[in-house]
Amino acid sequence: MKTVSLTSKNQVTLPAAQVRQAHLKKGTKFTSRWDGKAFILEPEQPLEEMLAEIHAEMRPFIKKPLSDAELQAALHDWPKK
Amino acid sequence: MTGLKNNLTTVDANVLLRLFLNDELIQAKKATVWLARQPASTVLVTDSVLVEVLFQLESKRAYGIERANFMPRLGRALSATAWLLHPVTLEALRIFAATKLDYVDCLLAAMQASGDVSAVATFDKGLQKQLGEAALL
Repeated sequence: MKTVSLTSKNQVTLPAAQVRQAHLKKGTKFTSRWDGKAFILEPEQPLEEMLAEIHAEMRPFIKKPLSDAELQAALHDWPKK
Repeated sequence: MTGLKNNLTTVDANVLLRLFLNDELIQAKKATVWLARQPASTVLVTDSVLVEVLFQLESKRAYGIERANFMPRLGRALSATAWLLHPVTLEALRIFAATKLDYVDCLLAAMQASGDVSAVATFDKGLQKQLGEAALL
């Protein structure tokens, strides 16, 4: 555990060793929350990475991909079940 | 559309579906690259678009995917920082995932749950059950 200080601009510096340990890169964004006792910083998953995981999980459920024409027709056709 | 910030954009159902399902690679990639460039909370996801998206995901004439199979993942996709969803929309999505109600009914239940309205007049048995004493008629 390391001690860090809060600056007048509400900034803290993450300990370098912990940044390396977490494999964080410059520009990484975090979501921050206060749970009443501790601040929790969670690195955000890059969008492309998150969507790739979702696409892989959804693939088995897509029986038939829709072409552009089919999707447009479905969207213009609804709400016929 | 008064009251909305002019730096907001919004998204059509076809873009949301391609982003989520990746069943048309070129459109999905284009949409992903676009979304990744949007600042946090600047892409409004409207309820009218969600009505279409959720209907097409479940409809046998389109994707025909079970709600339980897509809702957890759609919720995750909608957690991307660029999206902006109204709290009532988030509550409606939560109800949609937990029930068999259609999304419009979920929106009505969410409006009631969020305190926007005190009650809903409906003949729909499923919605009446969801609303409990807040169902009129």
